[in-house]
Amino acid sequence: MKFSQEMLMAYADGELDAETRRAIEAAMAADPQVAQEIERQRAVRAEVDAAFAGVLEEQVPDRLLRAARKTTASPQRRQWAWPEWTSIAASLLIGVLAGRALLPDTGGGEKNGIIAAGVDGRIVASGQLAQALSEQLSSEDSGDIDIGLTFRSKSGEYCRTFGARGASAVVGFACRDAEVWRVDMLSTAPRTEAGSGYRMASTQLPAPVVQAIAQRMQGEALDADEEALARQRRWRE
Amino acid sequence: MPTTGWMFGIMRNAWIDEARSRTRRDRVFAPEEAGATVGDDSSESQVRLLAVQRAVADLPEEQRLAVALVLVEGLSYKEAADVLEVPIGTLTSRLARGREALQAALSDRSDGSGGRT
Repeated sequence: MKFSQEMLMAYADGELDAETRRAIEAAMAADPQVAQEIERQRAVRAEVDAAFAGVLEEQVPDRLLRAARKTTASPQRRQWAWPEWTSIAASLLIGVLAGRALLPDTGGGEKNGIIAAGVDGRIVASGQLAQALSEQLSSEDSGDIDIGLTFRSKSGEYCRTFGARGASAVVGFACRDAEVWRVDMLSTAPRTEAGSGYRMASTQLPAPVVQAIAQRMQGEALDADEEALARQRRWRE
Repeated sequence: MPTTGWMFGIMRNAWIDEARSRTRRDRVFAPEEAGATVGDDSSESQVRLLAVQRAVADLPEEQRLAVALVLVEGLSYKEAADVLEVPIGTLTSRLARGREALQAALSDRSDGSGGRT
């Protein structure tokens, strides 16, 4: 079987499904030229990667990355500078404030939005999202909302990451602010290729969100016991 | 849906700005930056590094953005295609052409005597 150069490049970048990967690996074993081409593709990637490394680079704690992504499949990404993201987050929030509610399910518009403009211009979680943030443990699997990490922010608030499944998946994190969950970061969820659906997509946080969390997090993420205890205390102290 | 599209527009512009600025000529050739990383690194590898930066900066915009988003920023093909609002096949072919051009430029440099920097 003959593979195009683009296909071999995609292999080198880890973009192929398991079946195609196996076929290419078989071809590599049989034909040294195939292996050589893949090596060449990898070498270019490594060189470009090395040439631009260092700028804006800041290591995100491994544990956070692991926990946040729940996968080690994708290569570690470059980190973004925090100031850029705060301004992006702010733009997003202003947009939401303009009176729109974000609907993860675009069906008939019957469902409640999960993001709403609160009093004093805060953006707060509502509906299913608010409920999941208050009640759902990260180990629990229910409904359209996944809860990922729970952590304390530098100002002492409890914050939790979430992913919403649906026609247009979003991920982000919200922090407990008095009696509401203030949404501090929101992003479209990384899409997974057809077949695996949105289950994965909503639990994988994009690098910018991970970076934002790393900036805000005080200490380490809560473990399961600490999370349950925090819930029991209604996310106060 | 429109909300998400609109929101995604902001995200995609941010990605593109980032990819552009990371691979911009004046940025990649900043002397202090190069000087700061030279240290005890061999000057040969430093030259190579600058040559790679320059080769990327010299790519046509379409290919440069594909290269920047996938190889530098680490986006998946699908994510990069979404950011650039092109079909994934288009992204793949731009990336392949960009990589080809980089390889040609770089092997040219290392085969030739001393390079053209």
